[in-house]
Amino acid sequence: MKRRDFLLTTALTSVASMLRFDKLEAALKSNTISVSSTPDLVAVMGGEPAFMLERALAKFGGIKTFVKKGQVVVLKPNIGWDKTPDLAADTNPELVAAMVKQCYAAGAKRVEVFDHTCNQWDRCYVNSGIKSAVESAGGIMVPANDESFFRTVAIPNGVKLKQAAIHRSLLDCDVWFNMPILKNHGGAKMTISMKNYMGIVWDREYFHRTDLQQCIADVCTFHKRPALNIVDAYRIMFKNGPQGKSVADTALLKTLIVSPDIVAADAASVKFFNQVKQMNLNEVAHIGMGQALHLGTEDLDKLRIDRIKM
Amino acid sequence: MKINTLKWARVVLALLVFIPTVLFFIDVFHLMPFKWKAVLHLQLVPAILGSLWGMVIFILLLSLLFGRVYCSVICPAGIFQDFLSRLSAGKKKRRQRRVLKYAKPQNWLRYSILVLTIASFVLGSSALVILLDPYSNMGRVLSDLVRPALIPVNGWIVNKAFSMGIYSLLPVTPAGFSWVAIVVSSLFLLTISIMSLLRGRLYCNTICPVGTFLSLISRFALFRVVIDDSLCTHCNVCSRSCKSQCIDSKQSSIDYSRCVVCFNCLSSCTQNAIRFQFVGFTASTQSTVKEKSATLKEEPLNVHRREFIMLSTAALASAPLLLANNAVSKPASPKLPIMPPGAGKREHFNMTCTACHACVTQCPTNVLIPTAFEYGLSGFMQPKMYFDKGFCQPNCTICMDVCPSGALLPLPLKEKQMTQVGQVHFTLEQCVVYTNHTDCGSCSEHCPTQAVKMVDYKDGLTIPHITPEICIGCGGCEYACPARPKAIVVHANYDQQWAKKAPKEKPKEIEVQGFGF
Repeated sequence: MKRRDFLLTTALTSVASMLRFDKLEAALKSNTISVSSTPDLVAVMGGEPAFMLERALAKFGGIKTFVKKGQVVVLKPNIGWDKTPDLAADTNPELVAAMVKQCYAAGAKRVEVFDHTCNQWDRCYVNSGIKSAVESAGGIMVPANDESFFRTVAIPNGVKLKQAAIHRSLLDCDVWFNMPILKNHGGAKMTISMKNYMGIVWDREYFHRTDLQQCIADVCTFHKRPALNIVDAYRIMFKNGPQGKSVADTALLKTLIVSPDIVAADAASVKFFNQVKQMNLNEVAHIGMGQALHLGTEDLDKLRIDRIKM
Repeated sequence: MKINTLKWARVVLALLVFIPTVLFFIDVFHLMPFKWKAVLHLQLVPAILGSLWGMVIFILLLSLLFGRVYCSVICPAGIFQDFLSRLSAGKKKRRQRRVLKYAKPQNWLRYSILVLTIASFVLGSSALVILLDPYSNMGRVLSDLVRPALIPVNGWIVNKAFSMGIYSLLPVTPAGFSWVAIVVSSLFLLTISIMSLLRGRLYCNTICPVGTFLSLISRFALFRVVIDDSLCTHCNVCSRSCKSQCIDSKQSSIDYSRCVVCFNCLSSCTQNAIRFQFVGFTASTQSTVKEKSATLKEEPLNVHRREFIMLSTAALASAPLLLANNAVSKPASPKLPIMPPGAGKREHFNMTCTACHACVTQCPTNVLIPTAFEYGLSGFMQPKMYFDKGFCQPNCTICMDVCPSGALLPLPLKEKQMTQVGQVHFTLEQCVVYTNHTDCGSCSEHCPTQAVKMVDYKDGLTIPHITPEICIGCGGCEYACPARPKAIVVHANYDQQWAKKAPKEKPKEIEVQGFGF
């Protein structure tokens, strides 16, 4: 009896010690419950966007981990510029379409896609290729070019940004995914997952006027977090960003970086970018500010990272 | 009852021109196919200014063949006035009680206005063309009065659509207004409304220089409305139906310099005495089927001599005024208005733009706004670029494509992207990076040529550095700058230049072996 009890207790204790509750809070906030051990960050290289996405999601337990049947999903790619996909100013349309398909495969009721663009919105939606890709996959492109699409919400944890008008599609949906493209940025130094939040707000001018780096970190503290940050590094922009001038500003790297931790996703992306053009993590001030606001960790050594080369 | 086929043909043709024209100007839903802008090329004044000689010759031939059909079928002000006249006509019974009746021509008034308009234009001022051209006036009425009124209506409809999940209709930003344009358009609208409700085509026959110009040709028209004197009972019914007040029932004669060929009179006659028919070449401006006595033949000569003396006097009298205007037409102020792309030389733009505001309504990012006197007298209400609500999109050529008078030449996209409408100007002391010691970069972000580039400043911050020669003046930087007053603005070029081409950067093959983390 005692031996059996001892063995049972040992077994239970070892199982219990492997459970990771620090992820439970993030999981509850981002609509995922994973009792089994999953990676903190997945990086894939060498495939086409749809396949890399499939592999990355599989590591997290598949799309069903994040999207439940009948849910309304919002995808927030970068559609800021009136440029064709080869110029790497906007998120790869194939990646966005692949994600739309994944969400519908998980049983989503509706998948909406939007961005508050910098250039004329309808040109951006069309010329980026995202509109036709999304609509072919059954998704809905929602405009964001008018103030009437936005509702003011409180950002209580912000340091300099205390409220923002956020797009109502995002406010009303069940789950959203952040899908930036990896680029350098003249003002913010890099534009990755955290900077991509600027496309969900109406008044970007406030950010630029009131300490851009801090406001970027602040807006990311908004309680409704993306389930995943899916960083498109299939084709990146490494100079003259974020708009770019020609294909000479781009590099075809066929990579995808996925993480529920926005700070980790951005930190990994900066280290990846640094191989192409020098960029130190401390130059991108908003990432450190994000860590200070408990949005995640830039210390990649502490994280379980799955690397896949296809 | 016999159907007045000619009149209904006129109405159908008029609507075929009028409706697309109106919709084009007030297109708040952006539902109009862009190709419909071609309908604007039918207008005479823009065709002359834009050297569309094919269209000009077509209109002149049309007038030589049929008289002033232009005024009934093509001119939007004319068709609008016909709507109003119809309103004042009321039911068929009341047509008997209309106020229209034969009126003598106001030749001294209309010819001096025509001469003044042409002379002032030749001497370098297009002010009268802008103020009097009926197409441009209607364009302004639609752009500056009707469209702004429709924007809230559009907003209401769009909100209802959103709540139903329909996103194909979009809200329109209220933008591109100017008080001067609103006042001037209202004055014109009021003037022609009162005139047409009370006296039919009074504007067309006393003030409009297009009408007067065409009247010089229409008096020799080959096909005319003619009264058969043998059947005419001089009952006056046709006079009362004539919007141009040009039918003298007593004499059974019609003034062809004022007849706008609307065919309303054809169905009014109970004796079948009035017809539209081929008459051949006749020197007389007024005729009946039967040639009248020699006294009538003499009258035209006297009229012509009198008119000639009056015209020359008018021209001579106006010369000093016009020369004086020419002297002040070059504004010395540094606050030059920025011309839309395609304008080229400032003189060309000021002399060719009739301020119809088609470009103002069509600009997709609300960059164009009517001015008041910023261009001087010659440039009254002509559009300028302003960067409050938007900036000129790098891949857009809509304003140039739409302009019917060629004031904005239709440059191909590659040339438009090299056109420098103005140059960037940066004031460090007002920049957010300088004053707040925080990152910004909004200006450089929006710059398509990177004439504004971010460079290392201090403490890890970056600050704008400008290269004005490669700037195209699109206003992205000025629009985006969060500082007040703006730290970065565009200063207009007097004449538009070619931007210097930045050195082309060669694409490099870049590979990475690992993830780097």
